Amino acid sequence: MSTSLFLIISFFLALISSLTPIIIALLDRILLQSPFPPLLWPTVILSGLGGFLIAICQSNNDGDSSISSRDNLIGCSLQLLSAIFSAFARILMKQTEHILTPTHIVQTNNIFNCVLPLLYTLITNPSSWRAFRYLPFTPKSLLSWCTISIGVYSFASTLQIRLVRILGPGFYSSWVSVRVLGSIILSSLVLGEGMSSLLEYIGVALMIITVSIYLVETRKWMDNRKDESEISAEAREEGEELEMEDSPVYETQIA
Amino acid sequence: METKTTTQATRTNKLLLLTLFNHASWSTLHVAARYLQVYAEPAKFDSQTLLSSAKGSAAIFLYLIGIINSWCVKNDTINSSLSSTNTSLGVGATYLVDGGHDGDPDSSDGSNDTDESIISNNDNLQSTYQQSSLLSVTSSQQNHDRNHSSEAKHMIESELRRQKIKYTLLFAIVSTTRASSNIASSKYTYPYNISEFHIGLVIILICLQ
Repeated sequence: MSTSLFLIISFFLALISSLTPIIIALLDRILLQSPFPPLLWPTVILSGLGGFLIAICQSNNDGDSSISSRDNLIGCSLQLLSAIFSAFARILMKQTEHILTPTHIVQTNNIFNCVLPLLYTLITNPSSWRAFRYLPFTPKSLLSWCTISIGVYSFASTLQIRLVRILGPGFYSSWVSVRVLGSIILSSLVLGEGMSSLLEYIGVALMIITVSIYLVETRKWMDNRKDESEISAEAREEGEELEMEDSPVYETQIA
Repeated sequence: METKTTTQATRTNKLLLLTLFNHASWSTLHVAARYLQVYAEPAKFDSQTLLSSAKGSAAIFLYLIGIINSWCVKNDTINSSLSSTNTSLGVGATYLVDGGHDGDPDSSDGSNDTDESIISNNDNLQSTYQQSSLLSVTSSQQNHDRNHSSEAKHMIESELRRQKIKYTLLFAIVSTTRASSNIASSKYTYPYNISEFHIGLVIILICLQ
């Protein structure tokens, strides 16, 4: 396969990955009728563009032009499937607010995602488990292991569910570009894999500017929303009190 | 009013900071996985193996946390029951023991006189509470209402249990499909020995879910 075709595939893959927050925001609006925060769409599109620029550069560096177009098509389709199911998972997190606890959901995910890949690898590639024999027990590798299993799959997953339930799936997912920024900063600090091309710098700058503006705007929006909800709650309470006073039961009680 | 606004602003800031922190902590996943794949064992470490083992140890860790947490809660409950019992025994009036749980209608005989016996048998504390509460109930109408409310409670509980099972299964399907398709996509798009056997297995895996 030619390099140009590989770039087209990378473009689609990056595009599909950046679609996830858009799919979540749309599903959130349709299924849960959540309000959109200001600048949601510009933020999601611009930060997606930034992420796309970074992904294109990195895919270009790591790319292998020997992959067939059929494999790439399957890869892109699976990525799209993953994005859609990721969106559904976030919607379910909100919908099951009064049914399942965050720990229950995290444990379900952990157990099922442990057992099925385990069976899969034992059938297809059992030698992959021998990698643990060669894993050096250095502080860095142990820290990496604990970061993944305890830091991310235990605590960050539980906190994610709590935040999705408080903020809503669409609003929570609109901050997803922070993950890309965090990965780039941490990679350069820990792994020494810094940015190399101008496009990557442009992508990161675009993301930082977009996220900063969005942070300021959403802060104001959240404060206003709370004020409005409190005013409506007070009005509702007053209305209920007036209704109570008018009702014959209340008059009898008073008498 | 000013204090209220300040509290609101603090809460908003806290939520936004937590959101940023949470997303940033998710970014460590990629860096840590990259470290293990590149520096620990580049030739053999498979992403499926990494996912399975990391998720398995996370499940065990959370399970242990749950056990410790429930043990602490149980201890706290016993301590609070004990302190409230001591107070009520000291006054010599009605028993005001509340273990923080809903008592069953079954009751057992005998009340406790000493602190030691209270410590050794928490079930007796519950039965003492039930006895005292049962003594206070005199009307048959109240018993009737209680039966009705217990039936309703039972129905709500069974419905909740059904919903729990349904959503747990749904979560299992959604999360596993998401994770497996994500990993499979990386294998198809990046260099990997792709064969018909792999494609078949992925399709079977997705269909099974």
